[in-house]
Parts: sequence; structure tokens; C-alpha cells
Amino acid sequence: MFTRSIYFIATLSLICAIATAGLLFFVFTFIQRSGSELEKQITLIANNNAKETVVNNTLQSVALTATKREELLSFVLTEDQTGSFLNDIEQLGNKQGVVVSTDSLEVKKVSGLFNQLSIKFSIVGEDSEVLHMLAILETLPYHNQMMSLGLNRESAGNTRATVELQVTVLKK
Amino acid sequence: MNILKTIIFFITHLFKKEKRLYSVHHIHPIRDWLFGLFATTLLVCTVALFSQHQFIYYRNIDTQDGIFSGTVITYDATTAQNAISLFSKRKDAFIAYQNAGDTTVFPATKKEVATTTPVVIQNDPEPTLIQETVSVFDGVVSTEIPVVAN
Repeated sequence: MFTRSIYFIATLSLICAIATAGLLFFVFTFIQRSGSELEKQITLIANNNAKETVVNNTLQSVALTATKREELLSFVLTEDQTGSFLNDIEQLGNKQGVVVSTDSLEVKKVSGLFNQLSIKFSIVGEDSEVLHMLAILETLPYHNQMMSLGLNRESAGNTRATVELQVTVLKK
Repeated sequence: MNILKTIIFFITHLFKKEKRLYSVHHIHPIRDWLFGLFATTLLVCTVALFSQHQFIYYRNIDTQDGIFSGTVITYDATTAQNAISLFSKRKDAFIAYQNAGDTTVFPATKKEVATTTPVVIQNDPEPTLIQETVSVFDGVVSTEIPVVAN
């Protein structure tokens, strides 16, 4: 009733079933692995797209704000202008009738784009002219801060002012 | 458990060189066909479910949903404009102080002259303009101070 061919078919069926299951497992694993790889690539592309968008927006912003930034930059001293700045202040003092001398100069290194230049000036002259020069220093069209101010009477009608200015200097 | 027993029976007798099975009770065509169809259906369903899961999962992945991990530099237009206005005013004040000399800045020591108040000069029938030209950091500017006669 049951011959060897039945055993052969049964064996073949079993082998086919195992092979199919193995093949399916392999295909599933392969698809999963490829899917994970694809997901990584898509994430990478998406992140690169986001980065590209940010860069494009930044470039656009840089182009659109060039004039404004140039204008803002004119209110910040650069390292190249430091020497001429001191000369200008001293000449300005001469024009106002006072003697302006630079007592000390110190560059305070700060992380970022800017350094702080600390300058100590001595201003000697008539009271009103010294005060006038101080007003001019207070309104210097550069980003700065008057850190300290000392006034001493030199003689009748004459004053010596010592001023410490902290000026922001753009690094090269 | 009957199916399990049959499978064990087949496996144990498969490699024995016997021409026939001892028990014909283990062979049941309808049951075997149902078992085969059930296994095939299960296989197809498994593949279909897996494929559907993969399709739905990867269909929703978008290349536009990326994350930028760096620092986004933003231009604060309002602050920039405020800074420009502030420094422009300072520059104007700076120029004005230079041009004005000490007379308008410190009235306590010199005669007070307000920039917005006309100076009244007796015995001068017509208003006159006092023009002065001074040098400033950025070049030469001209200022006119109105003087009104009484």
C-alpha cells in the first residue's frame, strides 16, 4: 500500500519545507537588514537636507544683512585701527585744548570674536575743557565702556582726569 | 496530539528501509490535506503580514524630517537695528560735542546756550545765522546755529 516513493516524497517534502523556511528566514533577515541600512541612509539624507536648509538660510541671511552688518561693524574697533584710535584721541584732545596721554594699554583676551582693550588716559587742562573732553570720550562712536574716572585738582582752574576705557576690539 | 504522533511516526520510520507502514491508521488524506493547507495559509499570512509591516514602516520615513544638530545662527534684526540706532545717536552726540566746543556742554563754567532755544540779541533788527565749520573724525561738517534778533 505504501511504497518507497511515499518515503521519497515525504523526505523531499520535508527538505523542501525546511529549505523554504530557511529561504524565508534568510529573505526576511535580508529585508530587515536592508531596511535598517535604508533607514540609516534616509536619516542621513534627511539630516543633510536639514543642514543644507540651515546653510542656505544662513547664506541668504548673510547676503541680506550685509549692509546692516557693515554699518554695525563701523561701530566696533578693529585690531588694525587700535593705533590710529589712540592717536585720534590724543589729537582730539589737542583740538579741545587739553593734553591727552595714554598711561597704559592692556588687551584682555576673551573667547569669541572680540577682545577687550583696556586703555587708561590722563587728561590735563582747564576744568571745562577736561569735562568737555570727558563728554566726548563718553560718546565715542565705538562699542566701549568707561570703567573708572578720577578727577584731581592740579592748580586753580586746572584738572587732571584719569579715565579707564574698555573698548571692544574685533579680532583679525 | 494525533498530528504530532503521526509526524513522529513518519520521522522514526522514514529512514527505515521498510516497504510499508505498519499502521495504516496514521494515514488520513483529509486531515493531511487540511494540515498542508493550514500550513500554507499560515506561511502566506506570515509573509503578507511581514510585507505589510515593512511597507507601512518604510512608507512613513521622510527625508524632510531631518534634525540639524549644530548651532543655528539667527540674525536678530530688531537688536541689530536698535544697536545701529543707539550708536548712530552716540555718533551724532559725539560730533555735536566736538562742534559745539565747551560752551554748550558745561554751562556752569561758561555762558549757557541751549541748542533749542534761540539767542536773543538786542539791537539786531534781522535774524542772522552763525555758521561754523569744524573738522570731525569722519570729515568736515557744517553746522548752523540760528540767532534771532529781538
